[in-house]
Amino acid sequence: MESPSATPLQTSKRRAAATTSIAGLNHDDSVLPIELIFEILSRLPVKSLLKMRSVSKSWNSLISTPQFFKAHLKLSANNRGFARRRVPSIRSGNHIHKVGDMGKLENIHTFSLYTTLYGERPCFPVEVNNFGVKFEVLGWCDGLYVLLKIYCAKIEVLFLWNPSIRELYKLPHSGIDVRKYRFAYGFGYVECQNDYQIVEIVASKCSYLIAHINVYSLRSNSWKTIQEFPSTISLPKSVQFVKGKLHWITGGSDGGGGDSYVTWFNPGDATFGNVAILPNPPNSDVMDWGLVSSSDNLCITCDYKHRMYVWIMKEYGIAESWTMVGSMPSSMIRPIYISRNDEILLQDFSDLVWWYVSRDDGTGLVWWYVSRQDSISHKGYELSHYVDTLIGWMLSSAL
Amino acid sequence: MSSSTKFLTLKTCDDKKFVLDEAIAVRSQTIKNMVEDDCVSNVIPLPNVDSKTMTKVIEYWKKHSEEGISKDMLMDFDKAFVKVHHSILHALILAANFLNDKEMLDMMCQEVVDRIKGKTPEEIRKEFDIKNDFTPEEEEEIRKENAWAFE
Repeated sequence: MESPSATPLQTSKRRAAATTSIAGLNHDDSVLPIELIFEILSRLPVKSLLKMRSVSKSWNSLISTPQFFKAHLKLSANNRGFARRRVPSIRSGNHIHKVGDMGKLENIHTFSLYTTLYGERPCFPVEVNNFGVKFEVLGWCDGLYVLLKIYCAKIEVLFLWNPSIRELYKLPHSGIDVRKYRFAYGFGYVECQNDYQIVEIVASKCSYLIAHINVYSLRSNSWKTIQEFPSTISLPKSVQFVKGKLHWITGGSDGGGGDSYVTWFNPGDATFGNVAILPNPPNSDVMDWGLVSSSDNLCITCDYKHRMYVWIMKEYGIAESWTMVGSMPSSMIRPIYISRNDEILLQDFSDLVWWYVSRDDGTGLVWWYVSRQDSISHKGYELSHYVDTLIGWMLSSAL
Repeated sequence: MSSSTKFLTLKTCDDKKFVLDEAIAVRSQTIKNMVEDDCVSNVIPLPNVDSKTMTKVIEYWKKHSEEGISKDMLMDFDKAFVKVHHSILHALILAANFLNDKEMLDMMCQEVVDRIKGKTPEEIRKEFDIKNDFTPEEEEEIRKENAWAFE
């Protein structure tokens, strides 16, 4: 199925649709059956895969199937630790990107935490795209980035970018007038619909109260507007996509007064709800809560008496499952991403990168300075967790 | 409990027999299922595996079942184990797949991955015995779509 309006900027050519299933592929007379070729190819980095397409028609079809995209992404993202692998692999999924010039996407680099940690040269090539223009990163998920470009302070255009395949797609406009409203954006994967979605929360410029919510579906390549939502919700400062829902901190220090909690919005069925922050938050009036990106769990930070505490909700929705996974001096550090086995990637205010692991006995901390090999200027960049993926290739037909 | 050690006889496609401790043989999920379902008579036929390959598989199984072997020693063993001609590697992958030994299959696949990463499509075709069924125009077209990947 061709995607009608999402326009790739860099390649004008649309590829043949990937409708073939693995079982339907012709077997080459090659030494290994197609299932095993699938096993092998799904471990390759994207760059090699794009080369391998020209091996044969059946390899090309195999690499272009949605099943292959998914299996490949799963292996990419599934590495549990940041630096546990003995064998460095660019598929390890533990890369971070750096954005130059105060958050505007001018230069983007990815480097492997493993190679940096162990003092090896970064093995992943840093050249990805040279856009020549500035973008702002609004969100990231599974190696896909949503970028914003504002022209003349009037028109905003959203793009979907996959650095692994070096493709940038212009997304349709949500119809919002940037002069009248304020926005918050979330981007994530909605599993029940097998879809990547962007949530655009639109609020009045003066009251910060939400006017409406727009949801973009990559699958349908279109926006829908949600008009019904609790009237008390105000524009979130920062959001995180977890378990197919968008989350943000409400109440308490965020201005709402009273206890803090995490509000969620499910773009799949347009429902809202709350999650308790902790079973018994101590002195919640002096707490400053924040959300952190995590592999699969809801993760919050609280800034209390100059220390930053990191909590993970081990079982989604169960307040008793909040577990503290680390604490650090908040004056110098902020968490960026938390891996499946509770390692924390941190950035300090001089923009160096740290890696944090609680000791097995739970008593102390281990600190690693992971940025020592990096020769690029540390000033003003953002970090994200990067995954090597084919998702987004052939855009909507790929889902 | 050594008195209760059970042995299984495995018969490869070239009619060679291997007698193996059941505790080791059940590293193969396929054999394990047969043992659990009680459908093991005297000899387990392995119609998809030849004796040369099975010898290598058993060497791997025995090493990985050794008591008190260190992680580093296993790692060194694995490293040396996968350094074989690609035809043997492919035979081992087919065997690991048939025997359903996920750990071994993973390791073998990873070795193939490491080998093909830097290779050209032409070299890959040779190694996997694949016929290029693209016309030169079609192949050129695909190359052009992601020319940067060939740099």
